[in-house]
Amino acid sequence: MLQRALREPFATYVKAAAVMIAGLALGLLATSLTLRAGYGFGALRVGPWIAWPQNGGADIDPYARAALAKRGEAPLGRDQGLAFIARSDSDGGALDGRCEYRIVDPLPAARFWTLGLATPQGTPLQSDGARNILTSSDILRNDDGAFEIAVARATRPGNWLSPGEMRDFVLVLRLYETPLDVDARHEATSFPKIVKRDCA
Amino acid sequence: MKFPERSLNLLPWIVATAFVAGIVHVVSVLMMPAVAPQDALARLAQAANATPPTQGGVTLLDGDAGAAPLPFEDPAMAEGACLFDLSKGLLRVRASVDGEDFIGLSFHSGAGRIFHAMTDHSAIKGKIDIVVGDAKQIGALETEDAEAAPVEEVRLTSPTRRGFVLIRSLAKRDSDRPRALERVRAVSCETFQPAQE
Repeated sequence: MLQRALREPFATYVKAAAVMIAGLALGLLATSLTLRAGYGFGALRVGPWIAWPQNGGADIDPYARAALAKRGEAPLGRDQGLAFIARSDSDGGALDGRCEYRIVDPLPAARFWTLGLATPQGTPLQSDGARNILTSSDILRNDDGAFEIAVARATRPGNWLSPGEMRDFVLVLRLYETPLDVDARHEATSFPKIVKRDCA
Repeated sequence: MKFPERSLNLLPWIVATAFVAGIVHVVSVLMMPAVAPQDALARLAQAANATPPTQGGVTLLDGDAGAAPLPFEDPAMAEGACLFDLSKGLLRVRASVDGEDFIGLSFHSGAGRIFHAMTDHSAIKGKIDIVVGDAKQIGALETEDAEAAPVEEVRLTSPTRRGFVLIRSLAKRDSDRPRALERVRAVSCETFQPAQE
């Protein structure tokens, strides 16, 4: 049947239809893959932390706009701050809710900052009524001004964030009114380190 | 020798497929902000329908009461939104700031672009007074001004008629949350018609 269809004069039409269908499928697949991967071009990567500074500017490109629209996000304005997301620890391993992590100094300069946990889809993780976010104002610091944050399911003394029962989570660091130069390259040492401890 | 010849015959069809795929890809990316069913504007419109606005016309987005409408928002922020539709008139956003607590206003067009963003740092004499209109409305305001007293408001031209203003107020500590919410409540968004000639 197919053989005959391809030999007859209307073989060209069959091929043209196949091209249209394959082109449509490939094009939509490419869109779906690029939008899932991130927010287009211009990512700012520092160690495990990634930010997309152009999301908050008027010069946002069509890929970033499409990705934001698909996810329903309203990003921070560029003059307001910058949100960094970490999906892995400083050694490159994916964050796992069964493991314990330590987040240690330093932080880039900012008027305020907050650090919290969210699902990969961006829902903030709340732990049993307690707010699961640390801010520059309520963080506990050592005598020398340094701090350390524990990310663990079980209670920890000091600065503690809990992923709860979630297995997959991301860390979100928001720097409000930061003088950080988004066009420059930054050393991973100028951002908080995420160190994996033991896993359950 | 038969195989290469056949694949050579297929070459124009493969090129055509790639061409169609490229066009579909570009068009679907460009169309996404217009057709995405759950973009930020749609989510905020749902929230605005579900909860009555404050006296100032702001829809409070309380993350504590179930799921927050927008993903990747900071739970340390008390938030509110004003949706605008410029075909019903211009939008005036007013807020007062104390210079100590973070409050941020971002102006989003319907197409997903932030056309203006500010924080309490850029307030003038402790006040934020912003008028949003389309190019024609802002132009009309400006010709009106020629005779009138100098204005203190900031005028923004929105690239689309529909859009929203997102208000974020930082609660530095858990105990600060009611005050942060109060600062969002104190923001007013009103639609007004330009004075007729």
